[in-house]
Amino acid sequence: MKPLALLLSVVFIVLAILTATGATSFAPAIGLNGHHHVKHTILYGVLAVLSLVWYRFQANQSR
Amino acid sequence: MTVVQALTLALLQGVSELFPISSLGHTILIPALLGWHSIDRSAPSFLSFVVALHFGTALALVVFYRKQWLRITRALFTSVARGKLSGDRDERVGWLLVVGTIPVGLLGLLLEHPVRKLFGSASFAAIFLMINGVVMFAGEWLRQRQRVRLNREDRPIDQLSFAQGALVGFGQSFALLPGISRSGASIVAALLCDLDHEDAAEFSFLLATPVIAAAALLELPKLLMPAAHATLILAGVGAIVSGIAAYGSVAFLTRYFRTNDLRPFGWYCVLFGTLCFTLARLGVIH
Repeated sequence: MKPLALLLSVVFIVLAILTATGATSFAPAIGLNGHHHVKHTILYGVLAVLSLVWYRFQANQSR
Repeated sequence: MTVVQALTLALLQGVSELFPISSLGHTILIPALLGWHSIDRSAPSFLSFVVALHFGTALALVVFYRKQWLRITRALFTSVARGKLSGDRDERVGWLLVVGTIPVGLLGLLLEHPVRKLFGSASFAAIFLMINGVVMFAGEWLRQRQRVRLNREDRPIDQLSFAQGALVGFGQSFALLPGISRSGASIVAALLCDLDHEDAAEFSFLLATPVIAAAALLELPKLLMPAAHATLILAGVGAIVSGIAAYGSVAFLTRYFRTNDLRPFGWYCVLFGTLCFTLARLGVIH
């Protein structure tokens, strides 16, 4: 599960950055549009933090 | 929007957000039944009014469950700082709430607008309200069947698995459809995960708090728009009325579910949904 947690963290951080900079006009089908979408940035930011917390739990568990 | 309309909508929001009868469905059907066609649901002043009502509801939930939220928040921060889960009840419930909020957060932000555009009419709200009633009957029947045939027994909230927490949270997503109740869907899902009615309702209300609060907070800028200034006092009064109604509702429902089940709400949804659908088909409401 540790690699999955790390992968999700990276994916959500990238999505948060992309939505924050408005560089997501390539993917309207998944709800991302070219607008500077604060709500989506917050959502992906929160998910990135949660994924990092999950990664931390997994890392400590495997020690 | 007149004062009477504003107060009626505030009362309706406070009550129907927590009763398993769909607040969204009722805010479409009741104004349609009362012939309030002058209310422009897309007007900035109306949207800011709705934001204020959600604030009132969320605040009522936070106040009602203040002790639980304090314990849960403390336990969550402690576990993050420790980097480990300890098995503490509040910590477990806290992470179940986090896991349960993710599906509705994701689906809500991605699908809310398209779904409301597609199904925003009185006819659709009435159909989904009938479905909501049937879901409650089905939930009670399935729970009974699980207990009798499979010998399954009730368990406390903290013994839910994270997958079950996510499933109950996912149930809330159906409330994007006007007529489907957030609390109804999540209580049914929790019942099927072997919680009793009281715990299912408590878990559902705790799950609803961050969702309603986030929905209100994310729309906060709408309260600051110039168009909202004219209705600021009305929005403030509406938030108070909605908050008092929500507090009364959650106090009533937590007692109600100690000894009762979802079936009376199921009957209400089926009957009221059928009435509204018939009126919509006859062209009496739109």
